[in-house]
Amino acid sequence: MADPTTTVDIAAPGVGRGADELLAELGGPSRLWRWIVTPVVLGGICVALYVYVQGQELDRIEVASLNAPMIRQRLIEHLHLTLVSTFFVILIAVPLGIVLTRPWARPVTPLFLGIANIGQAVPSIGVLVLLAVTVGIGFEQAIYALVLYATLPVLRNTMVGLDQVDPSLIEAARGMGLTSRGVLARIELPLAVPVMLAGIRTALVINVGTAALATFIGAGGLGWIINQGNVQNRTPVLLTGSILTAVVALALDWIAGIVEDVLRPKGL
Amino acid sequence: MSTKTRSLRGLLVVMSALAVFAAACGDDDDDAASDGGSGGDTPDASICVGGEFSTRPDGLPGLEEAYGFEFPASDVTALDEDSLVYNEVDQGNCTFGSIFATDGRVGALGLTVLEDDEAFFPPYNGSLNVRTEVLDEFPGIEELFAPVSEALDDATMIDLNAQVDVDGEDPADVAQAWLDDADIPEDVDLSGASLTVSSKEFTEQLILGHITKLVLEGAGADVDDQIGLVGSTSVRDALTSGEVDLYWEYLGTGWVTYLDNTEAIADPVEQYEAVRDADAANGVTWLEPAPFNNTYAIAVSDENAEALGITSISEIKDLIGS
Repeated sequence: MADPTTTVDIAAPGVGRGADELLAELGGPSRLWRWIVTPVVLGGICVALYVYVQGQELDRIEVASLNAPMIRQRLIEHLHLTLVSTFFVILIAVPLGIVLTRPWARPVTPLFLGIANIGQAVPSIGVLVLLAVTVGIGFEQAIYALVLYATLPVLRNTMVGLDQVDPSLIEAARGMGLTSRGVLARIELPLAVPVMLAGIRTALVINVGTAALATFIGAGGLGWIINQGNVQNRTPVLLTGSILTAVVALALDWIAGIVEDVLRPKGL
Repeated sequence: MSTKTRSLRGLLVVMSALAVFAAACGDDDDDAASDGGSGGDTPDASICVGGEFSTRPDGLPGLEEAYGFEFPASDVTALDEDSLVYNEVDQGNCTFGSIFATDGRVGALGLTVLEDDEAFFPPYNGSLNVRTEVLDEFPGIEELFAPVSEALDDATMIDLNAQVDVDGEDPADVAQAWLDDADIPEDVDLSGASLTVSSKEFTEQLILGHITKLVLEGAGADVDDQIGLVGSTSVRDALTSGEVDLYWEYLGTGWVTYLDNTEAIADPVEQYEAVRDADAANGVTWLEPAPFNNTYAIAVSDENAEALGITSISEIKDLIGS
């Protein structure tokens, strides 16, 4: 329904417009198909893993890692690490991205982008070890590392999303009397949301992978299972840890995809 | 409300959902975390365990079974890097920690080792494992290492380990320096022998690995260096599959973890004979063990030992109950 007070319903060039149309043009799957296939496949993988592990004769070392309470604990720790760190990444990177795209902040933009780049360029295990040595170990320290590592995609996408808003739209809005804050809230941000969401989705998946390293600073997670499997040389344990981590990454990506689809402004 | 601002609100809803979920899970974690580090009047019963200790049968699972207590999952911090345990216990972040008895840091950091009053841990004297095939071909190896093994007692091992972990020396240098003063038989000739030496990844193993390599090279052998493989089982599998020819193993580890026994044998000599005889079937020969006993142990910081008035592992049971 068109909102009569905001008449800037001009289709923004490219972004968000008829994503479904574009996808259909490319011959891609319909939205419903996308929504259903992934969970079914992931569910199938989990079932297959379960059947495989049940069919193995597990020795005492394997049982110590592969028991329901332990797997549940590590899974929850992993989700906790991923979601808390992604929350803070959004909290830090989105406002920062908004600020850095303001004209008055141009001089310092390269500095912050540089820091974010370094955060991601340095191997995650390096960041974790540096933190372990300087600020100690534990859940909090793992969060610092995860935030550092995943800030870049969200920051960059926020900035790109805001930058690619057609200047003529902003001019038109100004012309109609919107303040710069109004322009930001009602024009720039909504148009940038699809790109921002894509960045957040990327950060989420990156964090699942990096959280697997959190075990090395005592923060647990699925990486603990992987490490046990590796160090104790037990294939079922290694497989379970790795597959579960991949499944979590794909599941979160799928959920983020649905959120993206639902939140994408229609008719823009 | 236009669809444009709806998407913005949607983003805020997502953020709030994440925040709520994070807070909900946070309640469980934060409680445990603050318990461990708060100290207060009486330290809580929390334990930091090293990588393998958390799942090995001669580690935490077996210890809890033998002593009849169980640490709540939230009070167990599994540190995959063994060396981190020493610092965490020293700083009081964990009350208890799984350590190695011959580690150089036990004395240096002021840690009290608790008495194993139920005699749960088997003897962990070091013994050079050689593939039986290789030993048959080069029997001189046994004679070559007999005096080396004999000279390695607890005090020597702790000193060598401390040189690396506390003084920051390189394990290879420490091995070389020690050998310069040691008595190695001169009459064993291994020229023409091509041998692969390995070890696990922690300090004591690195030192032992380098000692082995240097002794073999001194006797004329050509040595392939595979020192520092990660994980006991990895090295053991490399030995049994023939990829590696020699490495130092511990009696208890062999008995409980590889040969899958549940009861330890308290007497080191009997334990050695049992392991040696059982493992012969796997093509592995255990040479005469050294006097040093690098047993797993539970340690507590000197301050906490005093505060809790605890001297043995069985007393942990009362702490957990409270």
